Amino acid sequence: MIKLSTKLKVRLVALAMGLPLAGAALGQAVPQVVGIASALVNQVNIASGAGQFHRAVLRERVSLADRVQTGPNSQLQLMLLDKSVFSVGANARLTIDRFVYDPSRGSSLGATVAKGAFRFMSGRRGDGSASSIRTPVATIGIRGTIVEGVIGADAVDIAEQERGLTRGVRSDRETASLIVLRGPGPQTQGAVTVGAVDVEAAGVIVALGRPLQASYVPRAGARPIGPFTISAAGVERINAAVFPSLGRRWGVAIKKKSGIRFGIGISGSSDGGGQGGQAPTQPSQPRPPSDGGRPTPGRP
Amino acid sequence: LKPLVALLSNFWEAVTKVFAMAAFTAFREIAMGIRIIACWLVSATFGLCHAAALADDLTDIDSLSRATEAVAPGLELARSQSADGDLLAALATLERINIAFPNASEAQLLHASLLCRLDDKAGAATELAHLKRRDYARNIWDEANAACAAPVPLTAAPQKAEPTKVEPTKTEPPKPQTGNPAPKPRRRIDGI
Repeated sequence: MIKLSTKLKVRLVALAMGLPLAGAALGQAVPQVVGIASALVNQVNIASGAGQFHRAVLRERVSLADRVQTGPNSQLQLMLLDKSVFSVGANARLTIDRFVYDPSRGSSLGATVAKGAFRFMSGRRGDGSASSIRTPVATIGIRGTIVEGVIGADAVDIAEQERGLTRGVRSDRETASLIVLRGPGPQTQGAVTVGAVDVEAAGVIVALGRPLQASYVPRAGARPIGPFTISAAGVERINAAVFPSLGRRWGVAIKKKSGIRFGIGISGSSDGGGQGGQAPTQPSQPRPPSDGGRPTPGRP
Repeated sequence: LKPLVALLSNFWEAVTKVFAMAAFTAFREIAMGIRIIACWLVSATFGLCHAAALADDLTDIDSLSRATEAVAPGLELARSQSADGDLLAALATLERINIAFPNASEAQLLHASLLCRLDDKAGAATELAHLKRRDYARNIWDEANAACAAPVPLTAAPQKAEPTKVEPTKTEPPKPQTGNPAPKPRRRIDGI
């Protein structure tokens, strides 16, 4: 048996420890870049790790775990390396938590949207089967899709204007989440995957499989309401939340307006003392017809 | 003479052993050094390959972003992507234009027509309701018409409540069944 010298042992140990460290160092010498700020308007701020926020510039690199915030009247499009796209509206908070991208095999994404409105579109080879977006109260599982979400007060305002949807439902204006599938639908053209999302909250999964199907999670711990088909007016309001400049140009208001157009009523606290976020259960309450307006747990 | 020979022999054997041991140790050291260098080279190569791929991807998306710093090249890019069947990329391009240039009406029309091609015709209708026929060249308007496969809704004016008029009869997406009716369009969409 060969007897190793002390010197040699030291070198072997150094090699054994050094290689993994070297690999880790190569991977972590710089933060993992996941995309760029491909378009922005007004004030968009980015902070790396626990660092301070700084004002973002066009095409600034965005790395994993960077915190991205948009200010009032601001907009951002974040394009990831696989050409997936996050468009976010004003007063939004977004973090890319996980991003695995292999050009030959596809990609998967994990993101958190804590506040604001967003539209996500899968990118190259984007069936995105392992992708998900978390909101404070729900997790959205994505399969090659265009999905929109609104989190916070705007979600409550929009949901309250969907007939019968939030009656008797207590909503949290900080965390309520409205999720809408926009496509691609089954008759889509082009080389795209038909879109679908699963909205999971409180252990209940609601599957959205057709454009404009939506789900609303009013607060933490509440079951998702839906799937229901969002109204055209609701689609406009979400568009206005994601793209505020277009909303202003088109004169679309997210909140209820008092007056003739939307009738009398001011949006406010939606605390209704209802069934803890469950859908209306009283028969007298108006419900969306067919598949809409009430909890339809897809897969418990 | 014999003791002398034995002494020399022992001495030679000892010298040989010492040299052999030294050579063996040196060989091991050199081999280990080579291994270490090889491992570092492999690691560095992988790192460099990864960095090169990342740089390529970043250059790619940088150029996409750069193309939408003005409306015309952005529209050209969107049309090219659309012609290649990459509808989502085209949609993303138009969204960048819409963010930076909210008055670019042609981008909005193209965006709506792409939504139709992606089978989101009801969503497209909500956007079309805000567009004016007279803002567009006839061929562009016709292109959107064709994509939505429903000339009537685009020519009908004024549209009333539901935007479902642009929905084709066979591939009809779900009509909005919940909530308020669509807001009344603010502008007339003139006939072609």
